[in-house]
Amino acid sequence: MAKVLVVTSGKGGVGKTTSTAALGAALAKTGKNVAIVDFDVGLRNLDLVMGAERRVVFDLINVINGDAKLSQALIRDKRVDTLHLLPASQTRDKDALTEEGVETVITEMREKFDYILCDSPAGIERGATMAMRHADVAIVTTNPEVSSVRDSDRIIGLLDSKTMKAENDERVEKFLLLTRYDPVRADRGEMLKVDDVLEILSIPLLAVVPESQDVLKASNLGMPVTLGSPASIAAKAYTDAARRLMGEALPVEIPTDRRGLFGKIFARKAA
Amino acid sequence: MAFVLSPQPPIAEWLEDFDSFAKRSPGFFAGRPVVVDISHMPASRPDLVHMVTELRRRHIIIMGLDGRTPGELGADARGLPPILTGGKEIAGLANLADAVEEVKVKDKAASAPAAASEPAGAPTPDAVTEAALAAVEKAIDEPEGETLIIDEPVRSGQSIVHLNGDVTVIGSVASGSEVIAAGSIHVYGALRGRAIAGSKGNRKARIFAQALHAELVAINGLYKTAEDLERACIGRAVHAWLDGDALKMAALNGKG
Repeated sequence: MAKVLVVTSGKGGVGKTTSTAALGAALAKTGKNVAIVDFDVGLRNLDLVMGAERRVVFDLINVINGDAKLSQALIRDKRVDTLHLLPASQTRDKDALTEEGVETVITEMREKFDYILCDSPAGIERGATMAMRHADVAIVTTNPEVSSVRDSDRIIGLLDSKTMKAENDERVEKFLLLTRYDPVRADRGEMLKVDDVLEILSIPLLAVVPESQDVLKASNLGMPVTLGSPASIAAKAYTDAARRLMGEALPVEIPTDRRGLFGKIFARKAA
Repeated sequence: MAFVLSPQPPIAEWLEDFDSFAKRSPGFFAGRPVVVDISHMPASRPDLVHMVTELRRRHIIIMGLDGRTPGELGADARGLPPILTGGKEIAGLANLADAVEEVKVKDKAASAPAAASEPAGAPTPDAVTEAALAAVEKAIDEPEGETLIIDEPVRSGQSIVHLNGDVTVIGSVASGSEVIAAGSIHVYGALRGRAIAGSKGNRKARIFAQALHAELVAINGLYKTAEDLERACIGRAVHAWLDGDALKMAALNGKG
C-alpha cells in the first residue's frame, strides 16, 4: 500500500527540501521504492540537493499537461537505484498545478512506489496546498524558533481542513521534524527547547536533527546527508526518522550538549 | 438616546441594505433601543406590520415609531409599537461609538418599556400577522444557543466564531488564532491567541484559560492586549470578567 507523504512547514528556509532528500534516500536505502516530488514550481531546488540538476529533461508540469509520460520525467538516482526524483518546472509558476493534474500524477505514482514524498514550497498558497492535497502523512518541518513554530501551527490547521483526507472526514497523520536544533543555544534559552515546541504544536515527534555542517555540505554537493555522511548525527536522525515512518517504534534521541561539564566550564570562562 | 432607522420604500431593498450593514457589524443593534421613522413609509397597516415584523425578526428592539401622528394612522396603529412625539434629533452619527456603554432610554421613551417583549394587546388582531409577531417574540425570548465544543487545538490562522452561546476548547488556542463567542470562552489548555467573549454585547460573559499567554482578551468590547495583561496572571490558570467598565482578571488557584 503506497503512502504519500508531504514535507511541509509554512515558513521558508527551515529545511524542507534538505529533509525530503535525506528522508527519501534513507527510505530508499532500505530497499523500498521511493519517489520524491518537487512541488516548488518556479523555484525548483530538489534536483540540486539530489545532484540531478543536469539530468532534468521533463518535469512535473510536463506530466500534468500530458507533454510527457511519468516514466519519462522520473529521474532514477545513480547511488540508490530504488530512489526516483520528479523535478519541478523552473519556467512555470504554481498556477500550472491543476487539481485534476496533480491527482492523476499522484494516483499513477501510488501504483509504482511504496513511498511518495512531496516537497512542499513555503507559504500557504496553491503550491503548498497542492503538495499536501493527497497526503496520508505530513512531516511538519520546524525550526526551534517562534516564527517557524507559529507557521507550522498554521500548516497543521490547513492539513486538518484542506486535504483530501480532511474532506473525507479522515485525519492526515502528522509528525514533527525538528531541524537545525542547537542544544547549546537551547540550553542558554536562545532557542525553543524540544518540549516547548511539542507543547505548542501537540503532534508526535519524528526526529530532532541538529544544526550541522554535514547537512549543509551535503546539500551543496548534491548529496543528501544520509548518503554523503551516513555516519553523522544528522544522518542518524534522518535514518531513524525513516525507520519510524516505516512503523518501527524507536525512541527519539534528542541531541544534547556533548562537550560535557568540562566543556561548559571552559565555554563560560572564555565568554 | 436611541437610534433612528428610516425605512424607505421599496422596503425589500431597504432591508437588504440593512442586512448587509448588520452583517458587517454583528451585534451592533444588540440591546439598543431603536426608533423607526415611518415618515417615508406609506401609512398602510400591512406595510407597517411587515416592516415591524421584519425588523423584529432581526432582533431589533423597536421602542417606538416616529414621523407620523397617531391621528394619521388611527386604528391602523393597533399592535404596532407606540407612536412617539417630541423626539429630538441629536448631532450626527459620530456619537455612535460613544453610545455603546450608555444606551439610555430618555423620558419620552419611558412610556414604551420593552416594546419588543410586549406586542401590545391588540383589540382586533389580524390573525396571520399576530401569529407572525408571536413567533418572532418567541425567537427573541429563547435562551442563547448551545455551547460549541472544540475538542482539538485551535491552530494559528483559524477563527472560531460562535455567535450563539459559549465556546469550550479542549486543547490550546494558538498564537495567531482567535475564538469569538457571544457567551463565555473556556480554554482547557494554553490561550496564546485572541479570545473575544460577549461579542454581541454581553456583560456577563467570562473567559477562562488554563494557562494565559493571550495576545488579546476582550469581553463585551472591552479588551486588553498582551502588554496590558497583569503580570501575575501570565502563564497561570486565569479567569477574566467585567467589573463595571474594567476588564478584571485573577488567577484561579492560590498564589504563585
